Amino acid sequence: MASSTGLSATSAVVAVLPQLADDMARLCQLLEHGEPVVTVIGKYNHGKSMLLNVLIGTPTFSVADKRETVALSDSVHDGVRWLDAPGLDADVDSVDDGAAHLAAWLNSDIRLFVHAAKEGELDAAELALLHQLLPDSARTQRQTLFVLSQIDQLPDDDALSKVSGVIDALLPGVELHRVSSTRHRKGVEDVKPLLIAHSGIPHLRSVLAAAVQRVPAARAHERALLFTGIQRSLDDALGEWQQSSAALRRRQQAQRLAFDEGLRTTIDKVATQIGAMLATLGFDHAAVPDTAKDAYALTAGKQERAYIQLAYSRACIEIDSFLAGQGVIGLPTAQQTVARALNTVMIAVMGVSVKFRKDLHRMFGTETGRLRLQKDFTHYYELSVDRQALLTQVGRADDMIAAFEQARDALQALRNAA
Amino acid sequence: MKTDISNEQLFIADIEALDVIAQNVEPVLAAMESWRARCQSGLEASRLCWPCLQSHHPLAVQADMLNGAIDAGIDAWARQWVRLAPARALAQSLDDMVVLLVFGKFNAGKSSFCNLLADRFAAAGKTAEYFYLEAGAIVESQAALKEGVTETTSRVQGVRLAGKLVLVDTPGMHSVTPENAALTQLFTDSADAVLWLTSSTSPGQVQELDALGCELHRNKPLLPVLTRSDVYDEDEVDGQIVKVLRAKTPANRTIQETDVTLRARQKLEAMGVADSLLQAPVSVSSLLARQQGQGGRTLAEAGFEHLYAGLSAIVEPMLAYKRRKHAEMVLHHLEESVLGTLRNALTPLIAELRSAASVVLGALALQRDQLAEAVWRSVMPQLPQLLDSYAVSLDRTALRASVALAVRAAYAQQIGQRWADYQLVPCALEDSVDGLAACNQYDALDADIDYQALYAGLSAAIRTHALALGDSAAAQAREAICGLDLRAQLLEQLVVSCDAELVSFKSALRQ
Repeated sequence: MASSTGLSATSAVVAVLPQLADDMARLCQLLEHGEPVVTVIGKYNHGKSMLLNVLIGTPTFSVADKRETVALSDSVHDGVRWLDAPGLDADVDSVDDGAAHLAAWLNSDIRLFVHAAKEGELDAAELALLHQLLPDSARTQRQTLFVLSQIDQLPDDDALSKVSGVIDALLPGVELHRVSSTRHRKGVEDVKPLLIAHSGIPHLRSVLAAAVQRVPAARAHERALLFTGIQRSLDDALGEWQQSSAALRRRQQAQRLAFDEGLRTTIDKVATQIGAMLATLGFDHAAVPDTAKDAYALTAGKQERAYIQLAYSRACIEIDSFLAGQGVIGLPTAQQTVARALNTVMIAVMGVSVKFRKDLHRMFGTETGRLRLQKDFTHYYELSVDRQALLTQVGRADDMIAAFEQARDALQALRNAA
Repeated sequence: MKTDISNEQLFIADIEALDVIAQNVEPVLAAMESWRARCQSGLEASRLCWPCLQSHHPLAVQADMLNGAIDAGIDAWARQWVRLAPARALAQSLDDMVVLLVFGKFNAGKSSFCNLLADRFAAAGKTAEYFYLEAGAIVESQAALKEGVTETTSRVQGVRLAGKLVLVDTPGMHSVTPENAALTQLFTDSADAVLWLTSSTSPGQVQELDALGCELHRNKPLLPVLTRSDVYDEDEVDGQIVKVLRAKTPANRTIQETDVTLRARQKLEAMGVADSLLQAPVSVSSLLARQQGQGGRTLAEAGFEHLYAGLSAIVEPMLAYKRRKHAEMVLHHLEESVLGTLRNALTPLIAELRSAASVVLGALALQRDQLAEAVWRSVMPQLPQLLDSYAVSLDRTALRASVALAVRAAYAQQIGQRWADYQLVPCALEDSVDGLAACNQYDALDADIDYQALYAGLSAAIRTHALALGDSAAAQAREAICGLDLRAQLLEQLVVSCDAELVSFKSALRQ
């Protein structure tokens, strides 16, 4: 069972970087400080299970002259967990291979790569696996031991040295451990010391014992390696999200600056025109209410109200068209009437009432009035579809950053607890 | 009781008496030729076209590739048929013999197996003529076959037994040198059945069968032979390790054979090959047979009596295959190079094209909305200026024209940016710029025109036009893509119907 710190770090890290699932699983395994794990790997029927039985000294794993082990099975003996992986390439649908992979990569501290001597040269699948295992051993200090098994099935020593030579040439610098489980078993059962001596098993046992001694140091090394690697992956990805968040914010600000500038120019232009219009007016006729008898007469008040209305219309058109260009007033959808769509923002900010001189002065003629217009239209700009979409993007980037920071903290907590 | 006659004697007698009488396959050949002609004309008529898409439109590029594949495919059929001429010639020269492909990995013991059979024929007073392939030619040889030490040094070699049975020892196409590849292919093509040799140390690594896919699809019987079915028993005697070689026990062999049958059957099923091709596996030990002097009992213990029974059992299906071989070879050509082209080259391209088309179609609605929105955003800010000019000129026709012009310009710009891979005809802007018409009531009062109403009317007109242009662009694009997709679908159906027809020829031929 992984610790709760391990579980929460795993879920936090895997949530942001799913490709680190294997690394986290291995890390948690390392942090549990379980027994050293020795895994046998190789083609099926090359005598893996039998080798384990002989190494352990009891018939723990089942043996038959065909594909036998189809799932991972393990057993603890003398402080070592022995893991019997199903053979490579055993099944049509490669389910076994998946389990073998799990065994080789996730669970093992020491791998015994088993190859039957009678088969001669290594085949492509075996070579491919070794070319992954050996560099991994160099990197993580997890040891890989090459076991040439079933040497009793070769006709003589010449044949054995021939096969050894071929494999040596393919894997320079890799020590071959030549063993025969059958020879050893028979030697023990019938008390034949020569068979035992020539089985290679005693030597392999001592090599394994020494390898098991090195496991704690190797685990410490691998743990540090994993912490550093995962940390770096998190930092790199976090850095990318921070950059993208910053870029989005810059775009947000640049758009806003351009809008502010455009709106100010528009309002100033409109204010200048209205100011000029107001300056040409003398007595405030429009403010004098019409009496009942004026209903059908063209009074000076009526004329002036029409004049003011015209100027106000022009102002509204100027602002409205600017807002349309900025996407504040989007293309009206089929359900909306054009007029309503156009009016929503304008009415919300400018109001519906008839405007008199004093209203226009208050709105356009004073700094306070112009600033209010600027502020209110900007409010609606921020509510526009494009701006909201950009805001959502920024939010998403920030969420990712928070998730990465959480993953980083969780990993740190795990490291502190280790 | 015939117990004194061994399976070996029976098999050697069978081989000697082999007499291949070809079956009349002319009607099948004629039917297959007409099938091929129909495929070709169908394909030529189904070439794709893409009006309204520019040639650099991703779908047009894909469609063009598909057309290229059709042409290349039809070309390749003819060339492939010519290239197969030597294979047909070799097959003819082997007309009165049967060819067994001996297939397996470098460590399966193929050569010692072939050599042992050769020795058995020789012992029965029959001829055994060895040969190997070198530099693309057949070299006759006095020496027995050589065991390749590694996968890469294996060579293609063989032996003719009693002038009737040819064993071809091949490591599989992937490890043949280039100069021998063509000749190896010829022998593989000519093979009437396959012996799959698999070492008893790790028997039945069925992924090896992938290399035999072609032969198995050609309906050739497959006999798995578990080689090296022997064990050394050891003991310590007087300070020495003493080894005794013996056969694996019958029980042990049965376990292995059952396991290999099970897995080979699963594999054939996964490959889409009839599992009736699979013969019951046999276990043999050439080493044992040889070491212990090839006596009758030894041979039986080494598994060879079982092997001969297995071989005799495939003589009949092999002969059946041989009798219709001429038609089979045409059928293989049609299946592999004609239907193969359709299936391997065209079908994936068609599927890709159709899925890409559906993605493009799915994105059209959004593209249309973006187009309309962009036109709207571009034209609206121009309105105050246009209205200012109108206030001076009071020329309603000019106002109408300039609004229409602005809409067209915005549309043209958007099309250039985001629809550059379509050939679109902009829809006519009807007089809906008669948002102006709505304002006509104000004509009488030129002195105080209601600009806000005029502005609203023009906005409505711009909206109508923006939407209409978007709709029209999207509709044209949709029509172009749907048309292309329909033709792709027809092509797909053509492939399916060609496939089905050929399957019916095949079952008629092989029944």
